[in-house]
Amino acid sequence: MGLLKHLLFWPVTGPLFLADFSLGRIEGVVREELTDDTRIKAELMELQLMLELGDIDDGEYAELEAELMLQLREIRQWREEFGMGVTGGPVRVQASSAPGDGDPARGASNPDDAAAPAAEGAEEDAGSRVADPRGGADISLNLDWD
Amino acid sequence: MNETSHAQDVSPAASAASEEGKYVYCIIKSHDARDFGPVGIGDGANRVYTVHHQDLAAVVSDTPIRIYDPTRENVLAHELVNETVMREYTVIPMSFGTIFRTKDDIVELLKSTYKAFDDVLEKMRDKIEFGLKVLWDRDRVIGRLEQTDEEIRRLKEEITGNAQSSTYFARMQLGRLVEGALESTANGYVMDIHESLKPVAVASRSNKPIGDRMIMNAAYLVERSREQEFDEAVKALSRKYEDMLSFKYTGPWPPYNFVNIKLRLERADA
Repeated sequence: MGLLKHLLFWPVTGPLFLADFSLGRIEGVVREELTDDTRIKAELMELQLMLELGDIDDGEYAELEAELMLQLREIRQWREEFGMGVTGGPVRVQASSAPGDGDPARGASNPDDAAAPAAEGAEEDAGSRVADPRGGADISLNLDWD
Repeated sequence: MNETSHAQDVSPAASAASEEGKYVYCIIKSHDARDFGPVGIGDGANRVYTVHHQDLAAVVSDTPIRIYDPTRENVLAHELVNETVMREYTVIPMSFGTIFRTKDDIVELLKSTYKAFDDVLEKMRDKIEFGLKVLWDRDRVIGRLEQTDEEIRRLKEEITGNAQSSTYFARMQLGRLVEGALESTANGYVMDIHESLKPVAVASRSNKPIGDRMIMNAAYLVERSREQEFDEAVKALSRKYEDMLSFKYTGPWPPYNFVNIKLRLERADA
């Protein structure tokens, strides 16, 4: 039931719904807001297109790009804070984590997590924290008509 | 977030400035050690050279271990190297910003994924990628629709001839009609372009259009030997749609859109 309905029917449903609307969920929403870089990446591509089309000049581009880079860095810091993956930076190759160390679905609210040297997959599966013992890579081809 | 609120927020570049790593641009097949000149990413003229395992080679340059922002300058530096290497080799491009700590780490990767890289290089041999973005002038297309689409024209006349408030609904209806017509027009264009290029390409990928003027954002994988044919097909299309669409045609690129390499990454400050 939506929050508004709960407030409207407060006398009937009582404060119990608050337990349902838990802190964890709020945290989840906030975390997603802070760590999602899709909007910035889309804006960056749009900016590049505008430059290519001559809608903006090099100076304007540089200024706007710098702003987006700041936002991107901020998101990167939050991702690290939450122990999520960041793109760029060194690739783990050596054997680095015990087999049992993989993805125990720890809560991100655990402060130890943020400090843990998280192993990471590509940006799509930012949740994954399994480090392959040999590093290695998944390589795939898309040779379809799409 | 405050830059200095946590120890780990200190920029990796600053905290590990003395720590050198290797930026990897792409994987190629080559027995011979190569030097592609001082064209590497980052400050200074970093030499681009190869790191080998058997007949596989990674094309790299030295860099401090840091996260490179995907600025235009940095991305162009990455692409420039790949373009240079591509002139002589089939290239499996790495994602922008991929850094290894040591040469041994790279050799380890090549060793442990030898077969996969070898397969992919074989499948990508002599294939190159082209980008095709198609943009239109929405207002111009609407203008044309208002002339050619019978229903839209009739409704439009009705609205302009009748200034009363009841035309609100007619306006709504017109809006919906135009939206629908725009969508099917765009789909028609995209389908035609796609079908015309299919016979001269190996594969294609449709990416999300950027901004609101773009109706198509695709990548095509083409045999090197058919580059000219593909070229001509694109030119023919751009002539055909001269007054309606503008084509942004780029390449040749390494097959960025057709090979996925997912590496296990660690944090820069780990």
